[in-house]
Order: sequence, then structure tokens, then C-alpha cells
Amino acid sequence: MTAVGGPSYRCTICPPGGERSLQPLLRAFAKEGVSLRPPPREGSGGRMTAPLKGRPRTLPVGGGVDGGQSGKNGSWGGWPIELAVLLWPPSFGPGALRFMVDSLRSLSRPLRAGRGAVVLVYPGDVPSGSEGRWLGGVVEGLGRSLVRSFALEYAPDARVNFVVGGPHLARREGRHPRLPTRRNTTSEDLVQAALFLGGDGARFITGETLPVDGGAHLLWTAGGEG
Amino acid sequence: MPVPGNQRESRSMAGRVVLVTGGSRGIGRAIAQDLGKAGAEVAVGYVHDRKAAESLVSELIGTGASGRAFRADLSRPPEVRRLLARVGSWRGRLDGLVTCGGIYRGATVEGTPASEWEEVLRVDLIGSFETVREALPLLRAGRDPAVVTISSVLGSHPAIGGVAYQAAKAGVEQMTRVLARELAPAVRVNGVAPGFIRTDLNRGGHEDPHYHRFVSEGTPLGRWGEPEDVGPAVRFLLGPGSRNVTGVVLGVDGGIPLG
Repeated sequence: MTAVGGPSYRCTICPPGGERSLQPLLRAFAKEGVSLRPPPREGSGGRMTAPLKGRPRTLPVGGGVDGGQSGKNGSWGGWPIELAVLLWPPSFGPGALRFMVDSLRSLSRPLRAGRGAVVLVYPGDVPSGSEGRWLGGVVEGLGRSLVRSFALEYAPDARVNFVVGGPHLARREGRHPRLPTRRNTTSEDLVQAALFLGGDGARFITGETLPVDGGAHLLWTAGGEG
Repeated sequence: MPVPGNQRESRSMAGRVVLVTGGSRGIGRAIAQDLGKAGAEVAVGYVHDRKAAESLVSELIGTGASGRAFRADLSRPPEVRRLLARVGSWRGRLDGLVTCGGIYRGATVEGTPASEWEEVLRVDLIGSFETVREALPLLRAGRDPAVVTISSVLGSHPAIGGVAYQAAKAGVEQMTRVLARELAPAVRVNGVAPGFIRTDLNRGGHEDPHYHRFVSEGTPLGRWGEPEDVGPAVRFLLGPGSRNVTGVVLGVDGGIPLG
């Protein structure tokens, strides 16, 4: 979907406190012209294509993306959004869910104005050990439900989809002998999946979850060696 | 300055050799056209409509792409073997395989004899499997080889009529996951599950005004799908952007299961 007349944004939305751990992902998105930057002033037009420099701006939980306002803290000055990449917070408390719901709600007007798409991205980082295993499952389940609900709410004007990274271990780029593809997921892998789901090629896709996890979701105890 | 996504995407399949079964019509034809526009060399599989297959190949060549038509009845294993042998003689390898060939039968439970089960399973499920199996040597000789199976929203969401077709498509989805595990890491295998797409296969549906409205209003994105809506998802799953994606079945359905 493209905006009806005029320029529109492609942006990442980073949770407060998440800039440091999400820096590799933010940079990878910025290389593709999807940056966390303040919106252009009224009348300057154009799309955000400059690479990310310095510390990314963060948006306060619960606000700052109202398409009707202008000014500080990452609000949009009335510009419609073509693509919003919403990054899942690295923390796992109730505040993380609150941030995701509030962000999705506040994107409603600019997304509909831009006939755009929002892609939730969960990189797959969890604490190591047994706590990590169930936390990863909880986050993925929550994300799937959120995406299905908001996809229904925003249709037909805007689409909502979900990219889930993995494996649910400490994220390191490189080989992973236990995964079917034998590769860990990189930031680039997550970016390409998000750009596809957020772009025109996915114009008939909404409410979907795309695991980008080297096939980790296929593994179970009795599934055999592979 | 980042390269605009649409410029990089436009040649993302450059030089890749891909076989699309069921490529002469409907969704398969649109997939073949999309891959050709992205630079792929496309082997177009067909069974009945040679004219349609050859017109598609002419169209691909006319746009600077490369292609050839190959006839095979997917319900006959010797023809599947000969199909892959001929594709091997043509290009010596396969970088991608799309199993789109299939048939639909829509009878209710009481009207579905065992023979209809055999016919539908033989083409839609076993035919897809045998195409993948026979293609393995060519895929292993390919560059970053990947397979995309084509199932259906009806493979996971039940509807009245066509029980054999729906069961076959459910089988295709589980087959996709098994293939993904067994063929990894050399070959990635994913699936696309189209929703209600306007093709000749379901002309009786979308040309009925009542049914047309029923599906449009029941689809969150507000319309029937077009064959051209499916191609980009297949291209993504065959290409470098999905190099760490395997065993996934992606719905291209306008969100209809959400309702």
C-alpha cells in the first residue's frame, strides 16, 4: 500500500531503554532507509533516507505518534506513515506489553492516512537458561495475538504483521550447529523479512507471523536428528 | 544512500533457474511472470494447455527473461521423472522449485467417492512430493536452493465442500515442514497458503455476485486476492532475503482467517 498523494514515513519505533541492545537492528534498518529520526518540518516533504547518526530518538510510552500533533518527542507533524517497524522491548515485564499496545493504538491515524503497514519485530533475545525458554514462548504468543487483533482492527486501511527472530538463546551471529539451517539469525535477516511484510509485495498479507529462526520452530524432542 | 527496495527487488532472482509446476495458468502463471520479471530463468510446467504455456514463455522472452515450457502429468511418476530429466538437460541445475500444479474438486462429503480422494491426493499431494523428490539432484547442484509449496487457506481452515482437496492441502503443509527438516541445511523449504484468489479454478465462485460479495466482505482487506498478489511472497521465500527462513507456511489471504 502507498500513501494517497504526498510523502510518507518509513520509521522504526524503539522502546525507551532499548536503544543500546537494539542498536545493531536499528542500524540495519537505517541502512535500508527506515530510520528513527524526528519527522521533517511541515512543508519540507520527502522520505527519511539518511542513515542513522548518534543516539536514536526514543518515543515515550503511550504517546508521541499522534498524527495530529507537531513538535517534540517523535510526534509526526501530521505526516502519514507508510511503514512502521515496532521493536519489541528487551524487558519482559508488563511494561513491555503496555508499550506495544500503546504504540499500536497511537499509530492508528498516521497508518490509515498512509495506507501503511506496521511490522512488529521480536529479535528473539531472551535470558539464558530455563527462564529464557518459557519467556520466549510467552512473548511470541503475545505477539501473535496482538498482531491478529490489530490486523483485524486496522483492515482494510492498514496491515499488521509479525517477524519473530531466534533462536531463543543469546544472539550471536554465525553458525549454529543445532538449527536446521545451521545459521543464527542476523539483524539483516530480520530487516529483510520486515521490509517484505511492510512493503507492496505483501499487499494481501495481514495478521501473519513469520519466524526467521533458522527452522528452530520445527524442532521438538522426538523430531529426530537433522 | 540506501538502494531503494524496489530497485534491488526488481533483479533479486537474476540468473536463478526455477521450475514452476502448474505454471501455465492462474496463480502458477502469475508466479512465473513475477519470477521472470525479477530475472529468473523459468521452466514452466503444464499438463493440458500447451498454448498457454508457450505464450507465457514467449512473454518471458519478450521481456528479456528466459524460459521454456515442459509438459508433465504430475499424477504419473514416470512423467515427473522425465520432466526433471528434461529440466536438467536444459540448465543442469535448479535454484528454485515451486509446486503449484494441482486440481480442485468441490463435492460435499456424501458426494465424494474414494476415486475422487485418489485423484486429488495423487495430483495435489503425492504429485507435489514426487516433484520435490525427483528434483533433489538438480536442487543440490543449485545455488542456495529453495522450494516453495503452494497449499491453501483451506488446508488449515475448514470449509464446506471439497474435503479431499482440503485434506490434500493440509498434507502439503505438513509435508513442507517435514521436507524443511529433512532437506536442511542444503535446501530450504517453505510454503505459501493463498486465500480466495480470482482464477479459473474458482470462476464459479467469484463470478457469482452473491458469493463474490460474501468473500469480499468476509476478507479484512476487503477484496478477493489476485494471482499477482501471490508471486512476491514466493519470490521472497526463494530469494536471499529469506536465507534463514525454513519450514514456514505463509498465508497470502487478505486476513480472511482472522474474521
